[in-house]
Amino acid sequence: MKQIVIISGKGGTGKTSLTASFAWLAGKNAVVADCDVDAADMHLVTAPETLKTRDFFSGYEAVINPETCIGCGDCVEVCHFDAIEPEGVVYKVLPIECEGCGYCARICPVEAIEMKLLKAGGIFVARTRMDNLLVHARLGIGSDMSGKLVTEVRKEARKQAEKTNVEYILIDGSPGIGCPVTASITGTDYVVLVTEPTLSGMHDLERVLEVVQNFKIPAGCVINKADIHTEMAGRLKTFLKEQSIELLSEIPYDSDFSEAINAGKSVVEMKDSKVAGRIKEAWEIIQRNVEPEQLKNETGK
Amino acid sequence: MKIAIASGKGGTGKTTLSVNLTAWIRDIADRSVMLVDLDVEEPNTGLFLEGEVIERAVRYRKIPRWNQETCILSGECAGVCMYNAIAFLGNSVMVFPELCHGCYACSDLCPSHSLPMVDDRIGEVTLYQASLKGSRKVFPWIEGRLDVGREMATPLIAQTIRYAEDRGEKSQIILFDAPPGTSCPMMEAAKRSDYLLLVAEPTRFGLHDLGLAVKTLKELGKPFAVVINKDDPAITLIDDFCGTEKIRIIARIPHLREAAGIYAGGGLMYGKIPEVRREMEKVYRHILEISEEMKTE
Repeated sequence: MKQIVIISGKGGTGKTSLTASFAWLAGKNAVVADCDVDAADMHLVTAPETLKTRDFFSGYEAVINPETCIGCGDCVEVCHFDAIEPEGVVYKVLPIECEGCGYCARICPVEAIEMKLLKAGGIFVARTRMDNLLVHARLGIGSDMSGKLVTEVRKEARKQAEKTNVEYILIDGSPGIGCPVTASITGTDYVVLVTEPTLSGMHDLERVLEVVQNFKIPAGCVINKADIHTEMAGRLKTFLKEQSIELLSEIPYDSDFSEAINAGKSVVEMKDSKVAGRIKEAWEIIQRNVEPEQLKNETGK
Repeated sequence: MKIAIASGKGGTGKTTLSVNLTAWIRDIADRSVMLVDLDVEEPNTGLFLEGEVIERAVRYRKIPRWNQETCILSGECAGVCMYNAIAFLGNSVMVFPELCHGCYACSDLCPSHSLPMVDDRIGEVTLYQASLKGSRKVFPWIEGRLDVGREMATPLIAQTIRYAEDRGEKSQIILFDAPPGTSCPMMEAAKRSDYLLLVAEPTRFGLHDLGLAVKTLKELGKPFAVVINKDDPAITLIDDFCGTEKIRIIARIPHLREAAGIYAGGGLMYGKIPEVRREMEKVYRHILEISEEMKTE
């Protein structure tokens, strides 16, 4: 089983649209993990039917019992997150600021502070209309646990993939270079970078590629909206060559991307699509690139 | 007044609105304005602006560092850490910086004071004097930039905001180019703003993620309005949602191929595309209204 992650650095380059297309092309050979837990959109085009739901608890929140509190203020002194403020003669915790470190609870002289386990979100296993399983999640408002949730989604996806013996786990990552991104990349077999020929696309690709290279995972790149700026596209390709990153496909700008989203479909399912061929081409190269060496040699013969 | 330009979904046009609005306010309305790039993981305002570096400062956060000489191997540190950022291995202690939230509990509660908090570099904050092409007008522009390989953006966002607050004037319009999403980095920017503009695009992805952002801001009790980018008059997804939720749509930046081209090359479009210029003015008028309302409150 091979884990393939789709990331981009910059948002809005077409990660989810491509992942959904790969999911459709792979059909029952894939389990899809939506690891863009901040803005999980995969379910909007795969029409999943939920099979299993579980809560995701990841952190704690301090709660001060006003009956027991003696108003000494020791908790305020130790809190580095400015999460405790006076309320009358006692103190209260501001849930949005509280990081759940438990320092206050430890030093409270009258044990008035309880650390409450916090529900950070939910994880769902669902069957999609593409004949595969989707593992996705919903993060509670203000939860700072997106990296951990990504890890949980991936764990669940792996479990499902092993159980159903599929070939691929397709991971839809999030924008940026922070903890959710590293949590989606770590331990994967292949990284698909999706970019666009804009200065922002290039800048963000450079930064996220550095992260990928730290992990020493092989990567290929899809240039989406490839025809919106010829000069930038040329610069992107030169950059990829310099970095020895394989160009998987160049997809011209096509309104099929947004139309597919609004029709609840993946791009490759659009009728008479001009870009479906390019996406298929990319998927075929990716499949070849993650094949075990031995098999690769055989197909080479 | 601090106004954050945010969105649930990435790539909807936060930076486009941030840089064009800032430039419009300075250039056309001739008002004092400051731009702060808080998308520290992928800061992009610099691709559209020119400026002179006034000050560049390395930013740190505090993490514990184990002092082997004084440690009495109590194991207390690992016991108090709620983030598994410290492992006690019987005869040694290991700190995992990427898991540390900087709560100081291990450091303060160590019986032998063997975990002093030390500086850990996370990125840089740069203050520029930005200038506009063909104009002598300048404005302060601040960029937070997370070091590649560092995973925790939120402490740097908080420090970049503080840095901007120390340098901004009260009467000034301060615009934050916020990070995407709805989790801690975005929340940090939202918490410290007086008002937010949510940029949304008319697709079902855009609508879904706008819904998440709206929920987050309602939870925070922050006032906001919506700007539609890549607007298509034929698609009313965002209009319908905002109608039901009673959210004001204050501007619509049309979906133009020309705009995409200018953006791709790192250009500002308010001077080149009349529709964009017109919409920037609408956003500015709205900001003035809001700022008046807030004053009277």
